Amino acid sequence: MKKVFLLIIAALFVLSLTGAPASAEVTKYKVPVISDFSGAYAELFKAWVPMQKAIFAWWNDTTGKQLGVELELKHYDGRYDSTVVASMWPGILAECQPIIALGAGGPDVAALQQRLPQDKVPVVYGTASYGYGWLPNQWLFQVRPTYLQEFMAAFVWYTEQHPEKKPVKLGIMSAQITAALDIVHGFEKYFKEQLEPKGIGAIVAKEFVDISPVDVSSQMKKIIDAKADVVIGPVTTAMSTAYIRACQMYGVNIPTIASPHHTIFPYARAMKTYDPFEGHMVSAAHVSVTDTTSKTYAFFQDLVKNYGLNEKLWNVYTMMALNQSILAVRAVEHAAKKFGPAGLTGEKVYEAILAEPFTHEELMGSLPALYFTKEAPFSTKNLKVMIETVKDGKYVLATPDWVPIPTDIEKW
Amino acid sequence: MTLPAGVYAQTYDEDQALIRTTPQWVWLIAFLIFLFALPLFGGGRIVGIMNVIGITVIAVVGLQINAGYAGQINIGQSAFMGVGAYAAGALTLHFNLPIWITIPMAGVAAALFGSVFGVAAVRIKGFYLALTTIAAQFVFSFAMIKLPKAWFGQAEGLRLNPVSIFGFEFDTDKRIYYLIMVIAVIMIYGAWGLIRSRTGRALVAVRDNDNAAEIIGIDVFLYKSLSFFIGAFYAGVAGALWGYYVRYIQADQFTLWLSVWYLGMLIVGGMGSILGAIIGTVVIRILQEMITFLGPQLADIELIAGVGGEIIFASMNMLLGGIIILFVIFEPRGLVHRWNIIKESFRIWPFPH
Repeated sequence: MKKVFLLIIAALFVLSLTGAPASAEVTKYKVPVISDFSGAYAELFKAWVPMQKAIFAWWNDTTGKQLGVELELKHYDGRYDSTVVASMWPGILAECQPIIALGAGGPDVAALQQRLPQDKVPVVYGTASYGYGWLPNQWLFQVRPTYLQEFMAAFVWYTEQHPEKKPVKLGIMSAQITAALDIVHGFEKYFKEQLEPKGIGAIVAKEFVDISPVDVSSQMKKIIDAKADVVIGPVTTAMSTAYIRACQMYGVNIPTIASPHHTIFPYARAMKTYDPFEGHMVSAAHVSVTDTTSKTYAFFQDLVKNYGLNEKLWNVYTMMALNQSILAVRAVEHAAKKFGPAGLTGEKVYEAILAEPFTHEELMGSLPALYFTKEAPFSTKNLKVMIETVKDGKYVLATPDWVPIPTDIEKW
Repeated sequence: MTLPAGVYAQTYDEDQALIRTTPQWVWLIAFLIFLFALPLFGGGRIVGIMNVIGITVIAVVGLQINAGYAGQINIGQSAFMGVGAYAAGALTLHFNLPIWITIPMAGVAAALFGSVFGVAAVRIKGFYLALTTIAAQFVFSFAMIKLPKAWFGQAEGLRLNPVSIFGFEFDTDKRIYYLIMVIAVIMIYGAWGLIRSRTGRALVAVRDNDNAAEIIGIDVFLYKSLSFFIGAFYAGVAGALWGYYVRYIQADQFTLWLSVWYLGMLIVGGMGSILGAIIGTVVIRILQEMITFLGPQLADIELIAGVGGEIIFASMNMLLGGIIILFVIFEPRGLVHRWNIIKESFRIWPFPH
């Protein structure tokens, strides 16, 4: 008995010498996420938060583990209000000592843009950019170019599909808010300098409406009288609903071009039908949610299966969170590979973002390859969009291929 | 209000004094020391919150003079703040003027804009005046995005570098905290002086009964316009400080919703009291900070997150609105009234109040 006991002890001793290797040291970093839990866009961010959590969890379990880096998300409620973000940010810096952060939108851009170079924290955004944000030496990084560039890609594509209509007549229906007027100024400059001289397009009407209008029939009448072929401008569900109602009232269907979260999707979610948007287009510089054969969709299914993500979160809203999160984790990945996992700082992540492009594959097929430079807060090369439309009552791709953004759009 | 036992005035100045006893001086000095020493021991979050509170207090004290003392309802205070911010930004960017010139001039610019609505106040009051001041919000937004880009940047707004005074650059939260607090103390002291002066008494007379005030010889037109002028001046100074703090000025930062919040701060703190404006601002800002802290915590709780974000969204705003409603129901004269009761009770303790 004593011998058996001693043998067991000896065996255990030998096993302990050949035991599992010691786990690799993991450096943890906190990533603050400015969200909106109780403000104007709480409904949107309700969907963003699980997507962000799932992608960071996936990265921690896969690439992060290999590199010895773990990213811990910490959400903050910015209430989509610049005063709240301004008061909250010093605390975020002190608490998280972030190497990268995820932003919400306009209010935190306003509150943080000027101080980020001093705070040395790169902030990633999932929405498209605006002309007034198109500035050099920014520490904010947008996954998409400007709304104007995305819209113009679709507009120029449309003119190529309808050469008989050239110059294609554009009607603008815009709210009188900073963001919308910025786009209008961009249209005016681009059309005047490029499209009108080349006979590709012309602006024939420019009408202003409320941001949440009840009725736009009088503005619509003017657009119809100007014989517009395409309208750009409805950027909220209320605007697009009023636009459709006005079209139905006059018995016309002038197609619109917008961003995916502006018109077709939110309208159909409320009204349970795509029919009124037959022929309308949406374009964005990310993969289409209608494409369930894409690598991105397969990645999403992996998150559903292994990280508890809800299947219903595959939509145009959560695509923005997916894009933002995937860029953020890849940015840290680039930095960790360049500088090592320990001792990462915001400055090192910033340098890593500018140093090498982010390939289409590492962005899980969701975004085209991104080339960040100091020229602009978004990638300035390889710009392209996917265009979606409603055809026979179904929300589908207008063209299976990525459509290039015109390269002659300059800052306005 | 009773004075502490044994404290009485023998001269007019003593009667009008804000600080009457040595303990009151001690408390005031201790508070000021605490206020200015806060960045040394308070964390980054505390300093950030205090910066926004300091800026907001200036605007709300101005609104108190306008709405609380003169009785002129004003839902355009945020627009006046925006005018001040743009004025300060433009003067800094285009003329490179120092802040000890730009901040007062920002106040004057906002005051001139505000006094236009003061002129309207002579003819109308109450609901109609409220709507007129809402127009200030729309006029401001429209003007800022339509005026020449070289002036105010239009949609692009104005971007500022850190400002400095005598070589001391306000480029960190802690540094600008001192600028904000110094200006806030000066403005609040000025407000207290104003309301105890002849002008302050005239404003109160106009509030209580403008017809009677006119009969006894008070120039109602002058004092109504003046109340808007002064209230907007305060807002302009607050706007300038906001611009120098955030260093990016855009019309979207100054919304109608913000003006409504300022009125809410007055209601919670107590109308017709400078201290009420301060208390209301601090309480509402702290409540807002609590909400921003609570939301993500609740979202992390599986049960609540599973039910949906609507619960958090709805409950946070219900909580905030509900607290304001409770204040109005149970303490319609504001928290300052409760504070005065506590002070009185303490002074006559152990006798019942």
